[in-house]
Amino acid sequence: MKFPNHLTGPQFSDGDLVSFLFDESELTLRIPKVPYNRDTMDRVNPQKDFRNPDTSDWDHFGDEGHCTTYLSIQSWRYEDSITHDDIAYAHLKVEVLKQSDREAESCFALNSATFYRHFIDGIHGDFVDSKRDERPYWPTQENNFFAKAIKREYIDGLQVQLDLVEGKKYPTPCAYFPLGRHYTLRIAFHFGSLHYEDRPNPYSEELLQQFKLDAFDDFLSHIRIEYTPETIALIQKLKAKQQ
Amino acid sequence: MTLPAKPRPKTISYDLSEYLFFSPNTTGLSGSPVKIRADLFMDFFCNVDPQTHDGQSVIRDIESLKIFGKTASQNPRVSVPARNQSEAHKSRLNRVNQTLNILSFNQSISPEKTFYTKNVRVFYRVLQMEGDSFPTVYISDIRVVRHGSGEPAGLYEYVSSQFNQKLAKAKNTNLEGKTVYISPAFDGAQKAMDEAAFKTGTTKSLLFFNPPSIAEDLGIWKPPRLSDTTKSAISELTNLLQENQKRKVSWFVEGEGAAVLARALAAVPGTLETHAFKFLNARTNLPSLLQALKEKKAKLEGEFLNYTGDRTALLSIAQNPEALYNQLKQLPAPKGYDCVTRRYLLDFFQALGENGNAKAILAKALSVKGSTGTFIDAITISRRSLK
Repeated sequence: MKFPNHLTGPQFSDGDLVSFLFDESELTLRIPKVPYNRDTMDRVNPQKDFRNPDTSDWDHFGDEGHCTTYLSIQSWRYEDSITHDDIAYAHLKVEVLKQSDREAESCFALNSATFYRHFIDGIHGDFVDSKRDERPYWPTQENNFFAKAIKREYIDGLQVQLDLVEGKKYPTPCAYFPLGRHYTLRIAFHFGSLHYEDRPNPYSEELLQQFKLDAFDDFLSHIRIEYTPETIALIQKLKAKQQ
Repeated sequence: MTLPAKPRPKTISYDLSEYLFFSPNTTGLSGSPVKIRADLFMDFFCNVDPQTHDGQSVIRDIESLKIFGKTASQNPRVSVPARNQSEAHKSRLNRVNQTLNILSFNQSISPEKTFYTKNVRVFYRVLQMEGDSFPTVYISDIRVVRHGSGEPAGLYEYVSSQFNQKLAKAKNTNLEGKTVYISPAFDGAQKAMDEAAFKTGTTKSLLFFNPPSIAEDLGIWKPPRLSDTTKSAISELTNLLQENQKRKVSWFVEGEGAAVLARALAAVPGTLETHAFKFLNARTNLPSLLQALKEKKAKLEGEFLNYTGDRTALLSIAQNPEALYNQLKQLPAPKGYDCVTRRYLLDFFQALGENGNAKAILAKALSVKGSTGTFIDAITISRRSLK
């Protein structure tokens, strides 16, 4: 990916390939190489095999058996290569979500349309008060949270922008990918321009917000999900049934 | 975004013997010499690590000041026809020139300039003083300027669903049975919340977020200067402590969060008997903080004090180890297995307080004045020894 102006930072294409194994798929991520600076975060879950995992220490919520755990949490800063100013911070959180038994039985995640509908309906439900907003870049029900499908060979992912941190000026790009019937990949890319006292950031907000979206797209483009032959057969069977 | 108050440079030091060459690259072999005030050692040591990419960028940028020295030589000198060569005449002339040198520095005949690099703001002047062969860059102050994303300080909590995990300012400030992580100074609240989950070992903890300006305002090595952001953080924490005074709350405090807590405690009357505190790498005057907590009858049980290699925290411990040891000794007697834990804690912090390397760094900060070596050499050697 070509960075604008003199911006420098980790390139996702140079990241380390890290794989996680699930019951019905194998996920491979490009984990960015975080420079050894002060105040950075660089955590990757040491557990790589999630077949029949012990979820007791995952973060549980609701009463249907949903829970999440992290796959990677990293933070870094983008800087200007000429002035060496810190320009923006990035905080990338990749999690796995365990769906409820009822949802797994419904096989909603094995079809692009039902997967999209399940998550976009849920997001509309979670942000019921966000009907519309004067800010053109702000995600609302009116603009469908800027939802777009992420085209993949078997099942498409979903990308949206959400208001995830109260008080933040700009929304957070998020993405969801099915990892089979039981698990979903959930990604959030927190990004913020940095301000020094008495000095405006030399990079405009427009440029940085566009860069945020481009960088997130770049990260998503490196995600590989390989389903097991049985799961592929099931996906195709469901597709044929639907047609 | 509310910008913190504009930082004021420290008082300019007039004693030129307090200055030493900044680095081996700025001794005047190429470009103008760059000198720095010796008593900036501790600030620089704690905030710029020459072993990181960030730190190296800052050092390289400051070294680049050597190109500025060529432009100015404004040193007023008295010149008289060299007819009187007597020693007494030379001596009188030297005294006059010395006085003029000091006056030129004091009265800002050479204007103080500012140079920015990353998170460091450098105040300097270009002068040719007694003993300088060329116009020299004198760095009179360095301020570590924090930057932030503008998220407000305060209490945050997660609102989770399968579709998203929203981090929101907590509406319910009833902390009964809760664990609250008081963060160090962080760029963003989301990062602080993720850190909270790792540090407290639970995803159910609440976050008291401290933005980056806190670190600058409540630094250990300089007098506190409270911006509106810091005042608001202290005030919110004070209110939380007061509101939950009779409730059972566990606090996990890290880094600069301890300095915010120390300020908040000072404004809370009464006791905190049902509040338990744990500290990690506390960046504050720890003996005073423990004294305040003891007076408030707060629970300091088990391994309530920990240190995991944070240099600023270690140096603050080594600065006054006797006071810390005395405070730990005076805490209420532990019960059961806590007796063993307390013994280990005392031994651990006594050893940290007597850490030879930390002591050496504090001594180095004093001895660097008048040293023939360079400032960065002293920093690098001290950094290595603290590993």
